[in-house]
Amino acid sequence: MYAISVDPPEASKKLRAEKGYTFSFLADPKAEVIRRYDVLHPGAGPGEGDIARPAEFVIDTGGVVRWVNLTESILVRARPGQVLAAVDAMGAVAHGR
Amino acid sequence: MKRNRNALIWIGFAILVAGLFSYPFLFGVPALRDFPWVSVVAILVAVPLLWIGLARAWREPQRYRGRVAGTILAVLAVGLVGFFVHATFVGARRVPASKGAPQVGSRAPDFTLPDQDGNPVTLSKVLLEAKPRAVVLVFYRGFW
Repeated sequence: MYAISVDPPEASKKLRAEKGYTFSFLADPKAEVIRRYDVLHPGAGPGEGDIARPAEFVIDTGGVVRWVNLTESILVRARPGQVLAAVDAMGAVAHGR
Repeated sequence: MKRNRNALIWIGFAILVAGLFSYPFLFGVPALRDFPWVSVVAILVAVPLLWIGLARAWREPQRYRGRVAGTILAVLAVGLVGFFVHATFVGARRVPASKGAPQVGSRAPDFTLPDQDGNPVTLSKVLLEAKPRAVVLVFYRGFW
């Protein structure tokens, strides 16, 4: 699992250590990948900066998107259970191939 | 005759402020973040208290104090509730449609980005080398 935002690596390193997260944080300060995934929220950051909107993607071993969550409110995010269920459902299909 | 303190006004306003400002501190609980239950309950409790306090201050000024303070707090309360409701139910929903985002069944665009230690991470490489069951990408607003 990777968390992606415009935050620089140092900021994420600090946050990760503080909160004890074990997954990786990826830095996309120019929002290039965020744009590539069309999850840019223009001008929504501090000082009208461009940031990512909340969005979650589950990708299978073949690099194919298997689950997407594009929230309608920045206050409502995917719950861990939803993501795990998506991964589990995917495993069943992948197994059958 | 000594006029009574009009505690309802102050209690109502205190409940309202506590209820609204508690919201960001409850973000760790998904159910309370998805919908501001605590704040909504606080509004439903606080508004009648403020209203009763304000009404009795104006109807029976010889018995109850709080005409000036109550009016000021009531105006503040209306402003705070308006701001809160607008921010959580209107502002928070102003999210781009992201129509061009990768859809289920499509290939996830490849990328290389530095991780928190500055080491580059390439999606295609992770899929090929680490052979994970799945990769979860979580885009978030940042500035924590």
